[in-house]
Amino acid sequence: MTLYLLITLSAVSRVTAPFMPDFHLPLLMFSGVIWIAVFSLFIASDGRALFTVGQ
Amino acid sequence: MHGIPRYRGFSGPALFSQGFRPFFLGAGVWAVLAVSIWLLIVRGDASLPTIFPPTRWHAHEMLFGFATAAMAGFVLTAIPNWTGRMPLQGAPLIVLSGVWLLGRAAMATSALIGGLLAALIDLSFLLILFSVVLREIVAGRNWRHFPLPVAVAVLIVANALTQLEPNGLAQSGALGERLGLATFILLISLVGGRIIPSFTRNWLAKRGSDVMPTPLNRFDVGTIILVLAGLGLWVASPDAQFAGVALVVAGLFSFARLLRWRGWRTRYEPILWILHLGYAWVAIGLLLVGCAALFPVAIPYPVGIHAVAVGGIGTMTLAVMTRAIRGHTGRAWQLAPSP
Repeated sequence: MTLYLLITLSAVSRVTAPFMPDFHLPLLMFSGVIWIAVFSLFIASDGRALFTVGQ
Repeated sequence: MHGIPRYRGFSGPALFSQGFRPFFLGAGVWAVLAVSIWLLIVRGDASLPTIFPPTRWHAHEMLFGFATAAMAGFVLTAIPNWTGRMPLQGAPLIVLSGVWLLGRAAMATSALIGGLLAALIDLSFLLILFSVVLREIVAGRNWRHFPLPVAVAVLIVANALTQLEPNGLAQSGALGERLGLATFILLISLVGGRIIPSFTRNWLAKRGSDVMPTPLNRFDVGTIILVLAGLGLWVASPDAQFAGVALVVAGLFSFARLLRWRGWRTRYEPILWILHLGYAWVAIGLLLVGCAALFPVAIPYPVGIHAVAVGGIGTMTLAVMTRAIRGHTGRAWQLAPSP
């Protein structure tokens, strides 16, 4: 659930960044950091299952 | 034709027992690394020894690194279910995932190893994937999924177009990026149109719901044709007014298609509503890319591109990867209790 909310936040901030020239770079950075957090969490939560035999 | 998947015993590392394992791992890790590097480049704190301009490297790696790995994992796992043939595993899977990894290294160091060699290494992955997918679809006589090898072939062309420009052979980088992006949007429209209503229907049926997603019919086919036409026009002529109008129409029809799948009824199940949200981003992206062609001053070009890329591809990729990993490794895929 957290992953899905965060990826939505990343997309919204990246899409809105060009509309706010004063905050463009901070929003771009924010979006990127959230994206990195999303996929780091993905690896942390689901990555181990990729190395182990399923049931 | 839907076959019964067969699995031969595999005593090697579990990571190479099924196609989704190395490629979903690669997609996840590369999503983190490539964007981290990109942010450092934007801040002026890092640079890469690549012949690609930084923005082009970023676009290339998100499309032909991250998204392509996720697609490969999905396709290699789905094909045995569709054809009943043996999955790619063991040494061939190690080689294929190794070539993908080499491609990432080659693209980041193309100024050191040579642009043409880097291009050859990077393109090798899609060429091998194409031959594998085509062989399985043809050998399994699974003509229903023949668009898949066609899509991989188009990605090869798109990737090659992006490689020509930094090697000084043609001004085709932007064209290649648009063609690659369009191919992924179309794949999401095609595959999403199969799995989203199907998963939603199964979930609602288990809960005894009397309202189901509308079954696939001519409206879906018509919408996909509109998306294909709009994207085709945009790839060929991104600033043209007629391409903008076609994309806006495709976006509106995609929204209507999404509403027919009754996504709001899955609001208690994150792993389902995120699929609907991912498809919504594709529809939003089509509208915004179209509006950017029609009203370039009001709607900056990157808005629609990132709605499709971060919203559509990012969300749908994450949704499919988390669901597939849980489904194929015996873990519960429901993230929330029934209401």
